[in-house]
Amino acid sequence: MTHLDQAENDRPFWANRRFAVAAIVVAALVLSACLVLVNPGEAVVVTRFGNPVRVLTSPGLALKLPAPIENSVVVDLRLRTTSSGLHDVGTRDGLRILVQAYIAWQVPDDAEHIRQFLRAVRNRPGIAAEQLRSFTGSALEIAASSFDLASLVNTEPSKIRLNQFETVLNDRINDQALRVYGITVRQVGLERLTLPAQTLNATIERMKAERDTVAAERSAEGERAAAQIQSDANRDSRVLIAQANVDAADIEAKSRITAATIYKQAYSADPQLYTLLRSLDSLDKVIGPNTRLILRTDAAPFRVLVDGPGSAARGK
Amino acid sequence: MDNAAEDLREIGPLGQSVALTFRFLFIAVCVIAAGWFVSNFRQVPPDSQAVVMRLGSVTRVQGSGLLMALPRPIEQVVVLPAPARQIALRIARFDEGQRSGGNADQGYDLSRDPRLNSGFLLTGDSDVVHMDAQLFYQVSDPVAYMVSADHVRAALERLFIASTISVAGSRSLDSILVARPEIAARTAEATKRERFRADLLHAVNARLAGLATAGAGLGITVNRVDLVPSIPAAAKSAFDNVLVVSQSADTAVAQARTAAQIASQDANSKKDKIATNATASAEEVVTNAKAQTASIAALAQQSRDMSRSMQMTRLYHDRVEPLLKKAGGVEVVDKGGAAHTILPGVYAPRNRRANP
Repeated sequence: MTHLDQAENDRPFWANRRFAVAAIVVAALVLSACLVLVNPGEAVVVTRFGNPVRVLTSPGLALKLPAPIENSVVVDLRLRTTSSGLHDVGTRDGLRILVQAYIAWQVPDDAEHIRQFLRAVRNRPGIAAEQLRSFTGSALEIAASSFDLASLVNTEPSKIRLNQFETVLNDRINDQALRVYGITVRQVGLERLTLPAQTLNATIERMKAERDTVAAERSAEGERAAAQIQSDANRDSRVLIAQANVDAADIEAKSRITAATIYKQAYSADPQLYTLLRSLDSLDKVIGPNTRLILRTDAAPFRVLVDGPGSAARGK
Repeated sequence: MDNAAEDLREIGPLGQSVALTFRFLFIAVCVIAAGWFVSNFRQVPPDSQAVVMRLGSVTRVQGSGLLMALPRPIEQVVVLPAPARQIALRIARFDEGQRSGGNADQGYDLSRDPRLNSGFLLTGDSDVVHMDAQLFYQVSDPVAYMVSADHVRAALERLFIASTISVAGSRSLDSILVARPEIAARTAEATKRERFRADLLHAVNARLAGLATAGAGLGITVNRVDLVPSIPAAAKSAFDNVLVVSQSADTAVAQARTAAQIASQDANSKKDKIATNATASAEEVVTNAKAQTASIAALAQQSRDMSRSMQMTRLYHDRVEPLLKKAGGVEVVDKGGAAHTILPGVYAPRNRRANP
């Protein structure tokens, strides 16, 4: 026997280092089998020989008997969203619309509903979502039949009842989901609200036709306005020129009156002289290079040729 | 010391090897234990924050810097985006449709599969508009975000789409985008258009707040929505055509105004010309009258100085001579011949028989 072995044998049992380490390891293993860690967003159901006896919902550490006496089942309490799928439903006013709702749901953190969830869908959220989807489809059909399309989409805020639609749907689903599956619906919303493809196409065609009508109106209005402008301009031009002609005639008339006054004054001054000179003026206007005059020999001044100086002395 | 060396000599070479191996393993375990102890010492980047949980319970939330936490499984550290980080979420479902001709500016085509028409939303005035959206959110409640982190994006997309359906369904097409200029120009529509994104932001945050109130918050707040509404591709050409036709109509009106202006200027020019001509003509008439009577007035004054018959004779001779010269021909006939006749005719100098 060595000195080391002898020293080991001389110590008490609990002070033996090797046994102490082994004891710690065994104790840690036993303790770990008895510990349950509850994370945020989770609940742990402790089952004793398969029967749920306790539900731990507060995050932290808890104790249980080691397996196989007691086992722990983790239940996810986080919020999930599930789609109802696309449904062709009828509205109260007889229209067919396509709707799809989402359901935001979770397992509530109370022991009763967690146990219910565990029993109803075997702690499988996928199964719960699948059944919820089917149930929501049915609820959508019923809820939509109580609403007009105009109460879901409308420019008048007072006529819109989309929130009520979602509330009706929520109440209808939540009641059943909580009772049957142990899950609570936190929110329901419409993630699709549209028309069947053919109706949607027809709607777009209607939008297009409305714009074509507006385009035709715009074109006609433009042409009409242009024609009106041209017509007004032509009328204004004609009126302007006619007025100018009237003014010109007025000016001419006034000038003739003035001229007549001048002639009258001249006539008054010496009627015989006026008659002579105006007659000569008239002859001056009438006679031109193409005029041929035929006069008698006894007419002035040709009378001088015939009668001689005596005729000149007698005057013309 | 001497005893230890003596012990080693006593256990022999094999024993010495085993003892050394155990000592090496002990040191290795100590090093591993030290590494395990500091395994949760880490740097938190500037764009992140850390949530520390001790045995499942959240103990603290720490921002960027050095984080010292106890090792797993005593403490768990979850690194999350910092509150100030803007996280983008593109609404993928709105992009499921087909772009017309592959061009973004041509809008989206309707699909025969209604599941691919999510981007087409009904408006309050029974029109259809396509949405293209991207939103930005921040982590406002780290613990709630940590709990629901895996579901946040899917849930947020659904909440946003529901909000968009609700908001778009409560307003007209022109309070979402400028589609019909005759309606879009109204003040009420312009105001609603400006508020559309804000209303949408408010609606989606209201839904998030509803979840938080129900104890199922996602721990986020949406702070920006980038939205690109567009008219369906099938109707886009008709909407664009209105603008084209309007421009053509405006062009026609402008051309008519130009023609009207030209016509007005022509008319004014003619008017001025007529007025000028009339004035000139009037002045001419008056001037002629004055000219033609000036000699009469002057001669009437002179009659005092000269006998009347002399004056008349002199005037007659002065005026007759130019008249006879002016005529193309003068013929003299016997006084017992034909009556006095003045006949206009073609001037023929060779036929002249007499000149005055």
